[in-house]
Amino acid sequence: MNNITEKLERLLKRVEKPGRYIGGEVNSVRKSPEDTDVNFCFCFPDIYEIGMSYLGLQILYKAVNDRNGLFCQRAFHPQEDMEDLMREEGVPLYTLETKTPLREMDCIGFTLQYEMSFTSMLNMLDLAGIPVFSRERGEDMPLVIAGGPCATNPEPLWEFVDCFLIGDGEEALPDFLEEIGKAKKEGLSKRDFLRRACRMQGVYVPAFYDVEYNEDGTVRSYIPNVEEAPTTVRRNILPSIEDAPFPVDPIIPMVEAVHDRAVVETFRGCTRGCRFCQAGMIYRPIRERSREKIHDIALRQLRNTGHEELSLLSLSSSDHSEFEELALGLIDMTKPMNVSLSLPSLRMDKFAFEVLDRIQEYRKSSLTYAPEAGTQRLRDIINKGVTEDDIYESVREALTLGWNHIKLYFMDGLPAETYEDLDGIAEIVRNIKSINWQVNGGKLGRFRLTVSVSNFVPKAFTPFQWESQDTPESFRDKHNYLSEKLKMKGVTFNYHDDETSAFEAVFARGDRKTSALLYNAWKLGAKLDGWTEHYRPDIWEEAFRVSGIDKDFYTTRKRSFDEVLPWDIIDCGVTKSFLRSEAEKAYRAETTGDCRIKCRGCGINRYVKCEKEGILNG
Amino acid sequence: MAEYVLKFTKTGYSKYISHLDLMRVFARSFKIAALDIKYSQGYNPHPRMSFAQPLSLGYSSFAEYLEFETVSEHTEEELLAMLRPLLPEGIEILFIEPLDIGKKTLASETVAAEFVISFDTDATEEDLQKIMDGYVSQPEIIALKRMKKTKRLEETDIKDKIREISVSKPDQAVIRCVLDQGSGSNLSPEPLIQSFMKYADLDVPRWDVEVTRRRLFFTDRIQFQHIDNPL
Repeated sequence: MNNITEKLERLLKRVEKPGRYIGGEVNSVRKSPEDTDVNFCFCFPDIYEIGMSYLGLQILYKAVNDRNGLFCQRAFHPQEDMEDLMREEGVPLYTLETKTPLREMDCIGFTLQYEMSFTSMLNMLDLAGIPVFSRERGEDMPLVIAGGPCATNPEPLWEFVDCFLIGDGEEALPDFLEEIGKAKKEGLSKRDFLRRACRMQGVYVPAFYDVEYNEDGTVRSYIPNVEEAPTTVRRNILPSIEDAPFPVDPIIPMVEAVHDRAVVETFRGCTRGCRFCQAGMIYRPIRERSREKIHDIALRQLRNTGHEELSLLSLSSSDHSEFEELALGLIDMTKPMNVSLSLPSLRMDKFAFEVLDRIQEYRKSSLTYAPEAGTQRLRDIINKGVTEDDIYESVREALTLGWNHIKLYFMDGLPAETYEDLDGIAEIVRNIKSINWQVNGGKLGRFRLTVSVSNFVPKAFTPFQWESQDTPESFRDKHNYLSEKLKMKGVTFNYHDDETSAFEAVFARGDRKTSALLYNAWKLGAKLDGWTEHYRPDIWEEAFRVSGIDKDFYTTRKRSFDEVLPWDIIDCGVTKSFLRSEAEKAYRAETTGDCRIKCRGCGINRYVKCEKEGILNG
Repeated sequence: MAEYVLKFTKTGYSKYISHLDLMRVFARSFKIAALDIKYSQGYNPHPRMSFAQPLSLGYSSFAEYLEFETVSEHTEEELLAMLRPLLPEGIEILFIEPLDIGKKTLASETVAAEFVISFDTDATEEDLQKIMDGYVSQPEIIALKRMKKTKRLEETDIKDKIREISVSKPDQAVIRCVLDQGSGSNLSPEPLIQSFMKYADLDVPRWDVEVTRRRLFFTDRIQFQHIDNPL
């Protein structure tokens, strides 16, 4: 019994849902840390229920643990009651599997899924007794790495993370950890190890680059300060995901997770090219799992976990090249098992209705549409290839078949947005209401329409990466305007917080200087910022003041195409010239078609073959 | 159709799995094992299973009982082989056997439970025994008990719900007691712990007190084939 085990007894009796902090779940992995070459802890900077819903954790957990000599354990951010007791009783953050302090690991790795989790990462390091600054961690401290979508612009975290792994991690992470094992045997220092490791694809070591700035505060250049450091770091891209590691026996969470279900990733990447969408750019090219493979994984997962729900994961379910056969096959499989099938981000065409009709039978839950913008002009600007007629036709079908709850997703603050575009949102809502009138007559009673508007955050590696973000005041005005316009019977209007969007924007396009803001916010007590009950706007305002960071420089300032961007050090596969040409087309409200019709020249096929190029007829 | 009772332990970290989560754990294990468990009728069918007595979060136990129904009959060995590998650490199956109690349930036939309450203290065994003698010879043992109907804590006499109680100190202080448990008369160890500490003037934080359920007592109508004594 180690020291932590004893102390934990006193803590767990005093906290809510202690099941989050004990590990031992079915399908969790136990190895002996002593007989392991490299001890790694996968850290999710949010609470257990959120982290355990994240498929990437299950994938990487398996990919690492499948290799001899590597042991992957897990840690999450504790809730406040547990954190307070851990600090009070001197219990450092520990791994769930063996209750080993994180600071005894060889390496710990954070997944960066959203900017608002950055403070939680710092807090987890601190709770583990690990200095947050990379430069303050000696040879006795674990190597701290990070990956995930937010690592495509790693700079806000450059002082805290020793090394970033950019891109697909199924092979890159275990390969990297095996390199640590070799370095350990050779007795290399961390720095010498990193000098070697930075030659691997996708490995970015911020300390190996000096950044020079122009007088106006923009970046002038990145200068490597060790000879091994590449001039740009190319993202890891698996050429195919067909045989990539994928868990058929995922860990079954002890405390009910947000999403407690079997999940199969059907494909990675997207071919539609929406100009605001980071995922659509940084996961290129589109790579599919075969129908047979998906079926096999789903069946084995369901058998091994007893889950009662199966969900497919991709950026747009219907875009799988054999979607119809796939969906029908899965229906045939799940029905007799009493498993409910959920098909997120479904394009609501004729086939989709047939499928939904077969899987839902009497239960007709809500249907969701994402026009994203209120007028055709703005939808063309953002390259969202959907027309109002598409939506109306589909909604009419849905209402006829008995659905009575429609959800609509929009964004506000998009480039070139005017109040006419907001009026367009209200117009769409009115039109759907009148379609309901035509279909169902005056029976408005059970019909509900939910309109959700989220604030546009310009992201790195998108055609809109140079654009200005709306000010919080402008967002507020637009929300007020929409609230008035959408005061209609049966319509619910939701919108996102105005302030957090600005902080997200600062980090989404932040340079190295923004790390001071992050540090100060954490020092002042920011953590779990994604949670309304923890998020403290006053802390963030104070942090801006203390850090001397000009918020507008990162949020509302429009960048010039010639500017050196902080994330230019990363090569995500899509060229800057392609992003620029897409931005210029946006200004002319010109659209770009699906790249399954023909290649649009994004540049990804310099590195990897695009399997689905040209498979569709224009 | 067949009915079974499964006796299991809940030790180590598994004592921090809540009652609701434990239900899910078993429901899921049945499903993974592809056991032909009987489902309730209705809109949201759930497996027909129930625990004899819920266990408070944070208590260990060597005597938990789960009743369940299956469509066809199974041997004990078959069920053990199916279910053993599917349970989290600390949940050990002690036995599974057919249960034939008609419309009755184990819950309705539960009458008492034996608990072991242990904690660190400087008091000697002699001191503790003297305190216990005084504690039990009070005409009334007044404790704060949460009332079933009002959900409020109220002062009440718990004396007649304590069937047996003794103290020893092999290493830690150990109170062994048998308390009424069940739908008729019920006493949780919590009011007893609180009132004893108060009477003894011992300042032990609640989280330094370990509680273990060692045994459940049923009416004579329940007779197990397996030896059902505490480990």
